[in-house]
Amino acid sequence: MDAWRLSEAVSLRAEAFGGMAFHRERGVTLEVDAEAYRFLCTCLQPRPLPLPGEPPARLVPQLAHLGFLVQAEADLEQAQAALDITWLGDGFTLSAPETVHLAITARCNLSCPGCYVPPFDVRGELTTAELRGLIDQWAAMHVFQLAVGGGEPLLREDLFDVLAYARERGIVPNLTTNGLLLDSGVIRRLERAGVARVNLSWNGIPSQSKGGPGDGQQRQGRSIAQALRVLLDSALQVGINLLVTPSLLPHLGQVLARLRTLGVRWVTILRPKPPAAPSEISRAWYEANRLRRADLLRLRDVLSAWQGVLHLEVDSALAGLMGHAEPAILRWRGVYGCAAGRRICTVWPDGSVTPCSFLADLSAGNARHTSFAELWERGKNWEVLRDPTARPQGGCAGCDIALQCGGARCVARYECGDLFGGDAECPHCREAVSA
Amino acid sequence: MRGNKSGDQEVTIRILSIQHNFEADHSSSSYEFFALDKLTPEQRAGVQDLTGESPRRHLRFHYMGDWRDIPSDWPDKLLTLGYDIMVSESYDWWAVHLSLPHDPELMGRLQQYECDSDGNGFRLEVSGDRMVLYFGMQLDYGAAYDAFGEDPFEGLADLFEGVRSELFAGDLSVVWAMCETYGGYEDEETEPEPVEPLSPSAGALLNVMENY
Repeated sequence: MDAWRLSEAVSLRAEAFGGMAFHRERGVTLEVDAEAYRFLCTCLQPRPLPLPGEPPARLVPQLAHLGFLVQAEADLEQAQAALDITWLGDGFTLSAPETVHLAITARCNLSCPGCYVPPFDVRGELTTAELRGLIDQWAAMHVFQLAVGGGEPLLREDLFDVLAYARERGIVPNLTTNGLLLDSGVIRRLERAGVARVNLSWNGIPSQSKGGPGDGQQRQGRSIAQALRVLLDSALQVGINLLVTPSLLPHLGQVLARLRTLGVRWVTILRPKPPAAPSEISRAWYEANRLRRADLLRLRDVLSAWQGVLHLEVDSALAGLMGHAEPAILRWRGVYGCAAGRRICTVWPDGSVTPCSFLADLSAGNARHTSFAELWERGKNWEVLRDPTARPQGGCAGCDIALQCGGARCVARYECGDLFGGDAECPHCREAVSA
Repeated sequence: MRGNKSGDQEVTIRILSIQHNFEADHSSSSYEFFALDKLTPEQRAGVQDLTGESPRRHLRFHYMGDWRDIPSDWPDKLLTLGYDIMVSESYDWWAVHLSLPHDPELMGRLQQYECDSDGNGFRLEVSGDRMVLYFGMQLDYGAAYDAFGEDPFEGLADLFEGVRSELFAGDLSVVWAMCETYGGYEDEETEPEPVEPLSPSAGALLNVMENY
């Protein structure tokens, strides 16, 4: 009889609802109930498939299709299950982040007016040793992915060592960069470090003016086109982070066509968001670039036209664009809307830990002084984000996808001074109201 | 069985969600409409006006990805324009809408069997002079092909043509089977009346829901 086992590329982690399984090569995350999690744990050792009629048998076709179960060969080392987790979360908040967003440096070679990174003293940035220590802690908690950004992360000399160490410890490293420093040598080093995906940030159309911020964008646009040619020849998965502003929106179709011509398959659409502590300049930038309801509806039309041509993703602040879908189907597909402080968090260059990059003032503490697990479990200042009753009672009350979307917390706070004040521009909310 | 009745000790074993991060997710949503009788000229004109499609007894709409879906009023309208059954699939979630002439007596008998478990279950709504019965079920990957043949849309439509006849004959065992699978009751007072033995269609459906 054939023996099967869990793929070596799968990480397991117990959770309050059962457990999670992450396929590090395919980037697929499963949430399963307690029985299914027990079955996955038994598959750490080669075993015959369950007989037809046995409850686990129903899971096998899907697990095999997704690459989580593979035919066993003798004497292979087995993946490690996370059987040693002490705090399981509560189901709404996970036992550990799925992804830690690491702003590895605040230094940058661009000065985009809408940048969300607060000022940091670069002399106080986490050292290589401190970062390795943090990665050890994340590995112990079975964090699945590390999303490294900045600032511009390629300005950090030890970046490749940090990325490689994360991969060595079983965490999938991904990188977001403005692309200005990418060349074939850098790309080879990223490959060797085990980076899964590189996202290039592209912040809009080239400006008409020279010498101002738009000049940097023009420079970046040229640089991205050059970097893309090399990147697309590499083993790395390549995506574009496209910040869609009202001025870009009329040209979005052209931009997507251009990206497709260059060979890009993955585009992540980002919505402009207000920084946590807006300065006069960043507030003016946000007011000029925020997407209104009409913009969001237009964006949905463009996405609809391009779906199937490119693989389009949206950030969590745009989950309301999926409002036509059944809530149960959104849940099945792992759509959670704003996951700040519940499924993700951001670690800043100085070690402070916040729920996400746009709630940078809600620090749970500093990982230099307190263990990361303790900061995550305690979640000081994040309590309201972790309250499962808050979404259905706030500004999104009555919305049929409140639990799958819930609006963007940072937008709600900017609008209403309340983290659960609702999203004034949400197209689904207005549709629901008018219906 | 996936039933969630309080007090039961049934073992569930489920994948709760699947999230694709760096693999393309080629999933889609499909809607197929079946008319058991030929459409009248008025119905044909209505279908043409609504959808722009040439009216046929079997209409199919397919949407890729997240951003486009069937206009929200089409299912109800098409189910009053001569189509009797709509079978839809989206990310392994299968649903059947069955359109019947509005019959207050039958509706009253059916209402006790309405049930919902995470989007699976049975419900009914009135739409004009029709009542539309909704049957939702999440099936495991590929299971619909095992259970309903090479074309699960056709297979499910055939099964529910049988269900329609059974309901007209007063046999409510198919909705009882939905309750058996997806109902959740706190006490006996709210528990709907059992229907036994199960009709052939109800038995087939229950077998699929239990095993997939």
